[in-house]
Amino acid sequence: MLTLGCSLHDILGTSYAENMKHAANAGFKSVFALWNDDMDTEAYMNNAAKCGLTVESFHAPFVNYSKIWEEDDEGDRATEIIKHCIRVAAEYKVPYVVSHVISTLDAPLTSNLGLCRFGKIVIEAEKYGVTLCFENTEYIRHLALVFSTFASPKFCYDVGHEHCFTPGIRTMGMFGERLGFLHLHDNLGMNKSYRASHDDDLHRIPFEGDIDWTKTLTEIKKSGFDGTLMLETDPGHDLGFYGSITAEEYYAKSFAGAKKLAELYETL
Amino acid sequence: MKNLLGACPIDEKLIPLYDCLRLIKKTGFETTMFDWHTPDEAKETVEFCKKIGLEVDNFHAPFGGLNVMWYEGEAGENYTKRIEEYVTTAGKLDIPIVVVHCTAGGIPEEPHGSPIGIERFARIIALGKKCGVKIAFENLEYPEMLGLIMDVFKNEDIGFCYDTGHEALCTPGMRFIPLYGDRLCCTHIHDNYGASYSKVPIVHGDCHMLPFDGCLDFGRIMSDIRSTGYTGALTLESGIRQSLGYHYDLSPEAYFKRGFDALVKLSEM
Repeated sequence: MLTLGCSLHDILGTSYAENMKHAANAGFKSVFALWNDDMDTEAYMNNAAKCGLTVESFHAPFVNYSKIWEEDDEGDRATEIIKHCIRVAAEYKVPYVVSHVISTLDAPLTSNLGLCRFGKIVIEAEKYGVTLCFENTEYIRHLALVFSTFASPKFCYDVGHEHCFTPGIRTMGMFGERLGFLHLHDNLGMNKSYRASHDDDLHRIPFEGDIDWTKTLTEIKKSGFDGTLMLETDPGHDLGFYGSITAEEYYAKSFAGAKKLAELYETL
Repeated sequence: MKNLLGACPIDEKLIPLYDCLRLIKKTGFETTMFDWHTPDEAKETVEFCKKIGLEVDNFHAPFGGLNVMWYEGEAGENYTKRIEEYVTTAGKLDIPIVVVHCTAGGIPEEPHGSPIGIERFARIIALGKKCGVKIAFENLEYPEMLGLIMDVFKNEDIGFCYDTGHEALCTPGMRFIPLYGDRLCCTHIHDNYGASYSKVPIVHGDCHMLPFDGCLDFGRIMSDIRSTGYTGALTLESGIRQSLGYHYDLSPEAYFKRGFDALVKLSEM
């Protein structure tokens, strides 16, 4: 059976160390961190090791990705932050860094400058031997451009984002050959104003939304992917749905969802 | 089964429409597509095509300023009615397909989905069903909007018009056949130099050149098309004079001959 993993940070008012304990107890073997410059990376890594959890990726910090595409010094700073994340990942032997290429509902125009900056990020990953993955988010066109420009980056297939932000665009059909990482979570699709909204990005546990997991996993399996089924779930995105769940209960529930995914995967 | 080869008419300032259609037929093309101003004009042109033995593959609905369809108000309503007129006219004249854009550039601003927009496209699709006309949506600048249409109307018999030039220029890195190839019902075949990212990728460089005169990978394009089992027409959507000041220094006769040879080469790939 594939390895089962989940995003791991402080949720529901509990520390990440506490969360690691619950995730490991629930049965997860792998995690990824929402990395940022302020975190004590060494402590995070040590805690993970103590709990028997492999830290498989760092999610690059949520910089202002729009500025990367624009003539703005903030774009240069954002580029350097992501490069730094890559160097830290290399230092701690974390194999993957997952980055966005855009993170906004107001799409900036694509630009040569943006490509140059992403080029620097790509080169940094190649230099340090880190597998850089770009993830699908609110728009698909910037991601398509980056993938058509750079050969080495892999695709992080974010199933939830595809469902609520870009309905009708099956990203695996276009980028499946480059699949390198998964972000698995559920939601109820795009709202009935037919306009992408972050409110739709519920990050629920699989099978608690209306994503067609049979279709999704079939596409993933067809690509030959043999990595981790990595959940990117977070009760904080949908507190109304998760009510007064405790962190321990949440990880048990998440693992049950992940296990159901894995069992379905095996049957396909 | 062989794909019919088609071409759209070129600028009427260079050659009057009927002369152009005669030339298209004489060159060897079997089918054409066009737009029109009035239903009477459409009827007369279709009848002329029939007379000279040229099939009409589809009508291309108006698209300039189309983004108003996504906003409340009279302008959007009027635009919808114009497209509906295209659909009813196509039905009366037994034209099987009307090609519709779902966006038209970033004018006045990048369009976003809206209930009124979906309602209007729903009306057009329903009318198409009633008239026996397939509504085919074409890939353009905002793939997310085409995705929205394809998702909302996934249970309707809508078609996909694959535009090779737009795919390369407007959405580099995207491949639309893996997304919508199962709905492929017509094609717009043209070439360009790809995207230019000095500032605005969308309008700059939509040259509508003949295949093999730009830098598109038609080997990959034809492989994608063939993978669908598509038996419809391969239709040039190119012109002697297009954007970026690009133009062919050719007579209409020489231009269509060049286009026909290119399409034959394409059809044999």
